[in-house]
Amino acid sequence: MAARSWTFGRKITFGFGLSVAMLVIVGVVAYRSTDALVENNHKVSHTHAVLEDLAHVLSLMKDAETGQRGFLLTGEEAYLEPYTAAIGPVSRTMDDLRTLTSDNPHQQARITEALPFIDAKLTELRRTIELRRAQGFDAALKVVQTNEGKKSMDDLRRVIAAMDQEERDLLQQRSSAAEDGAKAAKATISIGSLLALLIVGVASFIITSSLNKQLGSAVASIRSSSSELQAAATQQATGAREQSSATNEVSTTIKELLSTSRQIAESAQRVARIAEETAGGAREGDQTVQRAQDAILVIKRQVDLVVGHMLELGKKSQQAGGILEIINELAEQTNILAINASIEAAGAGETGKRFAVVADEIRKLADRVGGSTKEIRGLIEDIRAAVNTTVMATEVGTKAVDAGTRQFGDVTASFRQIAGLVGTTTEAAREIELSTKQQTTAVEQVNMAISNVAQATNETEASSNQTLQTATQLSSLSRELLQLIQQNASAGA
Amino acid sequence: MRSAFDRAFGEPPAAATAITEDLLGIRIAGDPYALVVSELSGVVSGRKVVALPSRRAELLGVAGIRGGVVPVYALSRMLGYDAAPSTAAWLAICGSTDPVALAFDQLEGFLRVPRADLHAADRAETTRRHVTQVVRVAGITRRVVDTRSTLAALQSAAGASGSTKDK
Repeated sequence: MAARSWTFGRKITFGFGLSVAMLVIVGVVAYRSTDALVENNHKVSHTHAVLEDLAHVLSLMKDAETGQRGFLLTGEEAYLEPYTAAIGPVSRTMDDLRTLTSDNPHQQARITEALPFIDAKLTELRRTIELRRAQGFDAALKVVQTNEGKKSMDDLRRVIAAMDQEERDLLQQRSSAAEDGAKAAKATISIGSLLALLIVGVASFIITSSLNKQLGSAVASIRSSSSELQAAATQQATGAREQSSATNEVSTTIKELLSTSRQIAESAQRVARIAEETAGGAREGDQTVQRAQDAILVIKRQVDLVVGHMLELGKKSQQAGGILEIINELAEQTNILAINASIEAAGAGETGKRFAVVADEIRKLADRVGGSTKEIRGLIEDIRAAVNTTVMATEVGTKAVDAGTRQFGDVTASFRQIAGLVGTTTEAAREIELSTKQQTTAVEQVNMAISNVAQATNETEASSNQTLQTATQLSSLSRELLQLIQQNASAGA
Repeated sequence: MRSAFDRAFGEPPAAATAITEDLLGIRIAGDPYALVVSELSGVVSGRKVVALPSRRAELLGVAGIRGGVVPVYALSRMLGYDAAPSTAAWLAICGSTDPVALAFDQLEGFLRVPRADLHAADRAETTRRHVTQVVRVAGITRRVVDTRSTLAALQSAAGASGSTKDK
C-alpha cells in the first residue's frame, strides 16, 4: 500500500488534515445552521416587534379612546392626558410597522387599510373632544352615538387582528423552521462529530499503529545503534587511552632513539677515525706481511738446506749401519771363535787352561762388542728414525712454509682488500654520520609530530568520553522511548 | 774396554771358588734350550748342508766342517718337534773322531752358570726327549739338552742300520 511508505510528517499531516476537514465540515454545517437560526431568530424578533407594534398601536388607540371617554364624561382636561400621550406615537408606530413589514405586501396592504380607520377614529375622538369643550357633553354624545368611532375602532381591530394573525402564523412558521433548523444543526453536529470522531479515531489508530510499528522499529534500531555506538565509543575511548599510552611510549622511545642517534653519530665519527687508523694499520700490516714473506722465503731456503743435510745424514747413518753390520758379524764370528777356542782349550786339558782364559776374554770382548753393536744399531735406528721424522717434519714444514707463503700472499691481498674496504668503511661511516644527523633532525621532527599526535589523542580520548556519554544518554533515551511506545502500544491494544 | 781387556790379563788366574758349567743358550722352535759346552767339539754357522736321501727325517744331510764330511741332524726333530731348522741354521758339533752336527735355529749366547743351578727336570719339564736337566738363567728356564743321550740315540739308530759307529 502506498500509505505505508508515507513519512511521519505526511501521515501526521494526513491525520490532522482529516481532523481539520471533519472540523471544517462540522463547523460549516454548524455555522450554516447557526446562521439559519440567527436569521430565523431575527425574523422571529422582527415578527415579535411587529406584534408588539400592533399591540402598541391598538393600546395607543385604546389609551386615546380612554382619555376621550374620561374627558367626555368629566370634562376635565386631566383625563385627556392618555389621549394626548397616545396621539403622537400612533403615527410613528404605524411608520415603524410599515418599515418592519416592508417585505410583506399583505401587511403593507393592511397597513394602508388600517390607516384610514386610525385617522377616522382619531378624527372622531378629536371632534368629540372639541365638541365637549365647545358644546358640552350632549353634543359630543351625539357624535359618539353615531357609532362612527366604534365602527372605525372595530375595523381597526379587525385589520390589526388580521395582521396579528398573519404575524403569528409567520411566527409559528419561523418557530417551526427554527426548531427544524436547530434539530438539523444538532443532528448534523452530532452525526458529523461522531463521524469525525470515528474517522479521526480510525485514522489515529491506523497512524498510531503505523507510527508505533515504524517508530518501534526505528527506536529499536536507534537503541541497537546507540548500543553499538556506546560499545564503539567505549572501544574508541579504550583505544584512545591505549593510543595515548602507546603514543607516550613511542614518544619516550623516540627520545631514546634521538639519544641513540646522537650516540650513533658520535660512534660513526669514532668509526671514521678508527677506520682511518685501521687503514694506516692495514698499510703497515701490508708492509709487515711483505717483510714476513721475504723472511719466510729465507726460512724456506734454510729449511731446504736442512732437508738436504738431513737426507745426507740419513745416507751417512745408513752407511754407518752397514759398517755396524760388518762389525756385528765380526763380533759374532769372534764370539764363535772364542766359544770354539774355549771348547778346544777345555779339550786340551790342564795345558789349555791359560788359553781358555784368553778365549774367555775374547768371548767376553766379542759379547761386549756384540752388545755395543746392538746398542749402536739401536742408536743408528733412532737416528734414522729421527732423521726420517725430521725429514718428514721438514717436508711438512716446507709445505707449511709454502702454504704460509701462499697465505702470506693471501694475507697481503687481504690487507690490501682490508685497506680498500676500510676506505669504503670510512666513506660509509661519514655517510652514516651525515645520515644519522639527518635522521636526528627527522627524529626531532617526528618527536614534535608525536607530541602533536599525543595531544590530538588526548583530545580524541576526551571526545570519545563525550561520545560515550552521549551514546549512553542516547541509549537511555531510546530505552525510555521504547518503553513509552510499548506502553502506548499496550494501552492502544 | 781396552783397559778392562788388559786388566783381565794383568790379574792372576782366579781361584776356582765355585764349580761352574759353561752353556750355550739356544732357541729351538722358539723354545729356550741350553747345550753343555764341555759336551761339544765346536760350533759353526752358515755352512751349506747337502741333503741326502734317507728314511730318517732327522737327517738333514752332510756338511763340510774342518776338512771332513759331517752328518747333520735336526736337533728339533731329535727332541720331538715337527719343524726342521732353516738351512742357514747353527750347527753344534759333537764328538771328535766321528763328529756329528746337530742343527738348531738360533744361538743366544754363552752362559756360565754354577753347576748347582742345574736341576734335574721334573715330569712337566721332560715332555721333550733327551732333556734331563733344567737351568734358570736371567729369569728364563732353559731345558738342558743331553747330547750324550742324543748321540746314543743316533748311534743306536745307526747301529740298527749298520752305518753308524759309537763314539
